Amino acid sequence: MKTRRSFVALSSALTGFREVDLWGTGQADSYLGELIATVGEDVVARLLAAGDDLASGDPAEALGRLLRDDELGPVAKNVVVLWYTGAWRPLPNEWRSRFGASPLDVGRVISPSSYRSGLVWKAIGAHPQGANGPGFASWASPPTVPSAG
Amino acid sequence: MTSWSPEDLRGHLQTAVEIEWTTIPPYLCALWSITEGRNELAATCIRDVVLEEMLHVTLACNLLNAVGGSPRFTPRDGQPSPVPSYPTFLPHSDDAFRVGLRPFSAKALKTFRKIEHPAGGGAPPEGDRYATIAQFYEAVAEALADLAPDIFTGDRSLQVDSSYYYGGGGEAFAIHDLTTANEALDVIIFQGEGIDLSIWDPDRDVFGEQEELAHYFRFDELYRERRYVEGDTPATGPTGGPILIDYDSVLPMRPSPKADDHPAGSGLRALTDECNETYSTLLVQLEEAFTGRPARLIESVQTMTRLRYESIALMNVPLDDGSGKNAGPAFQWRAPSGG
Amino acid sequence: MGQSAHRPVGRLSEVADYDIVIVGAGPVGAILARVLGSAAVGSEPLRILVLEAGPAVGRTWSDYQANVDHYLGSSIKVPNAPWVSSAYAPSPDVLDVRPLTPDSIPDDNGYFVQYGPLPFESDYVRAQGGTMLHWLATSLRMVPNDFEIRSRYGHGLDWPVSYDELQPYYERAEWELGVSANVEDQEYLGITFRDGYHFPMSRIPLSYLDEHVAGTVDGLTVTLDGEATELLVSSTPQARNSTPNPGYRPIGAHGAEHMGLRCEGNSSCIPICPVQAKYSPLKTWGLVSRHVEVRTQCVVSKVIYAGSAPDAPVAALEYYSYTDGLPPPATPERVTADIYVLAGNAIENPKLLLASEPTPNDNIGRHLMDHPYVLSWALMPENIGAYRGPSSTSGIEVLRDGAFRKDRAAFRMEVVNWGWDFITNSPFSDLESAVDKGLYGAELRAEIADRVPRQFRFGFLYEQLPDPGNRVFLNNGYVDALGIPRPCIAYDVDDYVRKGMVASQGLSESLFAALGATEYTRYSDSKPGYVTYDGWPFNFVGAGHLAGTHCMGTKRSNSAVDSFQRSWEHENLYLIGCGSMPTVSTSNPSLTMAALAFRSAEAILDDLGVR
Repeated sequence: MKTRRSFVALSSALTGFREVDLWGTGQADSYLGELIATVGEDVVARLLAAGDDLASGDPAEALGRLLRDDELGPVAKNVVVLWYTGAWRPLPNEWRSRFGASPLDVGRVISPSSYRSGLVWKAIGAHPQGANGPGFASWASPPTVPSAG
Repeated sequence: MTSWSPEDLRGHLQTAVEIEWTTIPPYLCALWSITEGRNELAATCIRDVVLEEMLHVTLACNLLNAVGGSPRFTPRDGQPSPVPSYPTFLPHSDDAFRVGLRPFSAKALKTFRKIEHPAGGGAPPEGDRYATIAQFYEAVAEALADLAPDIFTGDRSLQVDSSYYYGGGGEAFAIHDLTTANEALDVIIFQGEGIDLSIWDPDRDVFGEQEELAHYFRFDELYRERRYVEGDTPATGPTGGPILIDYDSVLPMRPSPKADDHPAGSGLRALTDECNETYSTLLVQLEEAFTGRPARLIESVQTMTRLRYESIALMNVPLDDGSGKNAGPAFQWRAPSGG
Repeated sequence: MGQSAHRPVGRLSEVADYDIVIVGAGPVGAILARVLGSAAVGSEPLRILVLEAGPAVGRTWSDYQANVDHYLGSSIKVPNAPWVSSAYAPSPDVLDVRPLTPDSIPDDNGYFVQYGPLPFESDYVRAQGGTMLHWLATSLRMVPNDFEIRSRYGHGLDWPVSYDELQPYYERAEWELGVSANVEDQEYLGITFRDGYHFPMSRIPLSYLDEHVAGTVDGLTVTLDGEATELLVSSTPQARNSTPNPGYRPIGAHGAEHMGLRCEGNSSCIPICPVQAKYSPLKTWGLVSRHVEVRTQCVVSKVIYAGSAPDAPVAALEYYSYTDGLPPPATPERVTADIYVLAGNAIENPKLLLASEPTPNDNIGRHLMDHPYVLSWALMPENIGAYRGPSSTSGIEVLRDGAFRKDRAAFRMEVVNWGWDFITNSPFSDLESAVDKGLYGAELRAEIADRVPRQFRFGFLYEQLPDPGNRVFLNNGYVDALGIPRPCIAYDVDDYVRKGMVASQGLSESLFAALGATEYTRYSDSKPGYVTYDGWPFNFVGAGHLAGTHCMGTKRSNSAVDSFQRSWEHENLYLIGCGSMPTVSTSNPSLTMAALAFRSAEAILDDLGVR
């Protein structure tokens, strides 16, 4: 539970969505599981430890440092992509040669439900293509973009 | 046998609107708690019942408008709030059972059966403290017959028909006399409880649809995990093949949540407030749709869709209390902030 | 309708297995099965067999949902993504298409064997329901002049049937498919309607974006090739459930009739409507008499003729009945009928005929046409609500006809609601590049929210003229898993089309300017569909509108079939579908195909003497 909470807290800071919105997708466990399976527990532990530090210092500074980190930065970026798209994208080749390639590090949609939960659609005031249809004639109304909560 | 004044009848038809509406959030909670793609038969069944209940709401509003009333979905005009607060008894019922907001479960199905329970043979019409919804509508039918034709004074432009109502469960139609009023009552009563003593609902006769079980029996077959087949009766119960029900593929929502379960300023409080506001927007739009702006029904369907996604989001959020349960939609009135 | 020129075939024999065998359970097969299946000889329904090469994909609601899940879980959401094809009845996929070079020809990557010089980029679906499982549902009528291209503009071929003759069948097609449109929006370029006619449903509401574009574009006068035209953004007729008009009840999902009674805006008409609010032939199949026998996973491999004379009637069909996962069947089965209908598509129909006869009618396989589809894209100055609603709900139709067609292709212009989706893989690519720039949190959200909803594009569909060199042919060196020859395709896009592209490019630039939009169009010479004209580069893709390969005409020397889509040579053989279209003009062809199918169904009943 502690790991899940750390994962969601860090993901919230990275994605710009409230923790409650991330829990609301129902994907937290699945994403954390995929992340651990793909990059290993040690990398995830270091990533989450860096996340736990956010609370203590200047979060913007700490996040900037995390994203620039050679090892953890690309993983953190992939966590953002995961939440926004519901899909894992392969880590850069350079990362794989330095920190180890994983057979699971291939581009894939985690599941139909993760695709439906992609945050990118929410961020643009739309809905995932093929799911969560907003109702007849909804496309005729003026667009709105939800503000970051 | 009571003799109702036109005002009594309008009051009872407002109750009818409230009874029908009260059943909808509990059905929605059960439906939305089911993991997408699992328990498909149950999901289809509940979804179809919800659509038919929406048709009943529409027909009840048409009835009320036909007799010169004005349907209320929101607290207004100093009247008692028509918004149900769960768990609740059915409005003006004999208070035999409470209806709460629950995830899909055997307990929920038991309640759904009670809601849709057929009137026993010879149960008298009852406008108040009724045991079954059928008794209530029988009382309405008697009053309508008594007061017709003079009672049909309503503005015909307020009637909502199938150009705006859609989604199955039959078609909405305008009501302007005793014949159309009785047709509406028949649809409401029989979709719920079956034609006379049959287990089948009347859609096939009235709307030319495929044969369907009446609501009570659809919930009964889910509860008993066995299908009804041709030839079955209320006495035999379902004798068909088994139904696979997976109560574990359900979001574990804590029953009948409220916004103030969560401290002010918390994420869950914010999300619950947002969801309540969406629900209240839906009520405003429905009220507008049934008081002269029928095109609002189109928007209300969009709002219902938004309510669904917000409710499912809540049902995915684990509670902090160590119960292993999740949050859920509260279906409480929260005046929309506009915009 | 006019009387059939042929003598009635009659019920030839009691010994035939069926009265009618239909090859293909797509849209044409469904319409024929619906009409013919309700006909009877005395009290006996006609004996009809439908053979479908592919699988059944939507017998029940949950069957169908498996396709939806397959699509949602796919990494690359191409039109065929939901529809898993069988190894024994492969379908072409847009992912198979690669740029062709003289050294790479023939390129046999995938199902097609591409002989170039340009790749044929359209796909199709071999399954019950056919390619209209993944169509957009655009249901335009052709304009009257489209039927008379040779007389008016000096090329192509006139149709042997006029707009006026086809009009009652257009009505039947519109009611069968459930088209949402308002008559007053559709009366342009000579298109007329019967007095008092209404579509089954009111038009699909225009998108916010449509209204925004119309606000600027409507009334603008553009001069192209010396012709001045006042532009108008028109609501597109779409076979998708909307508000019903009197006399029509929307048809919901196959197997879940309460679902899909209105379009819910899932925005995935292509490749799959998750609630089935969009018409697919599965809806018609749901209404077909149960006396009609449908066998899926049966690939017809050969038409057997009664003797070797060029005009011998068809005597039987050979087909392979397979099961996925098992070895291929060793021997084909045979079936006989009084009337045979090939209702594959403009590639599968000629493929089968070419495999069956040494010297078929010379038009078989020739004149392959499509609508080369070119996009231009831009960022609007403000949020226009991209990525909401069906892919396209309006278009500019007034440029579909004019004297310019003597010199260059006409085009129709789609106003597109889906931003830059498959052009740049948006919105995912926008998100990834923002993340890679180092953005996160609220700034990341703001960047995405600012940029993506402003994405806008026009889509242009050009008429392609019939060219005998654009053709389907066979080479026995290339066969599928059942040993059946695969389609070899020679394809090019001529200067007539390319001049149309140049005209549309100029128009697109001026409209973007009028809209205050910043153009981002970039055509690349590394794309498969790369062409140039006069130094202007373009990328085109296929529209999936395969047509022309068994064209209809007035005589055997200029066509493969008559106006009822009956083979000139083989009196009991019909070739029905877009392959019969002598010219493709600019309208998406499905509605016309459906109208022609209704007309042919009547001719078949006449042949059998049961009408």
